[in-house]
Amino acid sequence: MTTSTCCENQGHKSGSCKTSSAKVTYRPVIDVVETADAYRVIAEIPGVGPENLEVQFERGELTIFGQVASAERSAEPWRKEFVRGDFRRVLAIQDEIDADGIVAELKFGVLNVLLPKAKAVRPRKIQIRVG
Amino acid sequence: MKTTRWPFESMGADVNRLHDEMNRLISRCGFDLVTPPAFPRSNVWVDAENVYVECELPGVKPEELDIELLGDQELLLKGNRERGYGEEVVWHKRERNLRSFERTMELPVAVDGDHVKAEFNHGVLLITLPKRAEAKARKIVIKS
Repeated sequence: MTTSTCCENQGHKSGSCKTSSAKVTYRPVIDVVETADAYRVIAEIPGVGPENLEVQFERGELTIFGQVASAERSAEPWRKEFVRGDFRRVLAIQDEIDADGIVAELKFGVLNVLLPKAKAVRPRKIQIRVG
Repeated sequence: MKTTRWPFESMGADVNRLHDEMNRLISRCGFDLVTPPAFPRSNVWVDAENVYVECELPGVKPEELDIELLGDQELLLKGNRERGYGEEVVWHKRERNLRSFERTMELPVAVDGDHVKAEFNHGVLLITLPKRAEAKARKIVIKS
């Protein structure tokens, strides 16, 4: 295992994803942590409902993306610090993942993806027999 | 009675207010923000009846958020965001800026504090503040 077990991927591999040509407005900020059994990716996507969000895991790459229409308001903004729009973030996980066990939860505008490690890469406690 | 405040007590709020004001002026000129805005990032707009304040508060539980109206033209938001990932973890990325926050925002016009509504949806707070009657535009009849 290398020291960097997850790394950023811009996701610009040609033809690897049908949404790669979509306009990307922002890249959600994330935390990534690892425990003995799993990785957790926590992404901030305020204002995004489950209907506008997709999470994919394919060939060791986790992709979080969505398309959100920007709110049209008739009134002129007095202060404007953020925009609604499309978002996308791709992350490569180098450890083998049990793809069937991946769980994603959305709560208070934060997406939490749990990626369990495949049994083969989890640390195993070896029982010692007394001879 | 005139009260004297400890000079450093309100400095955080004053610095935030100055920061807000500079960001507002810069964004009005059509440039991108030079520095990241204070947390929470906020949009404010006004129509004939109301002032609307929309804030991005990902990960904030509604019960951990305080909204206060200071006078009738200033809003204070404060709260807490926590990670809670446990201690036995290896960090690979740490981009979320989680800490307690406090932000004071000037409102464009005076509002009626008795009829403020707040909704929280997917980590976005929308506050609707009705304008005070004297702040609403009045049509002036021109006598011929």
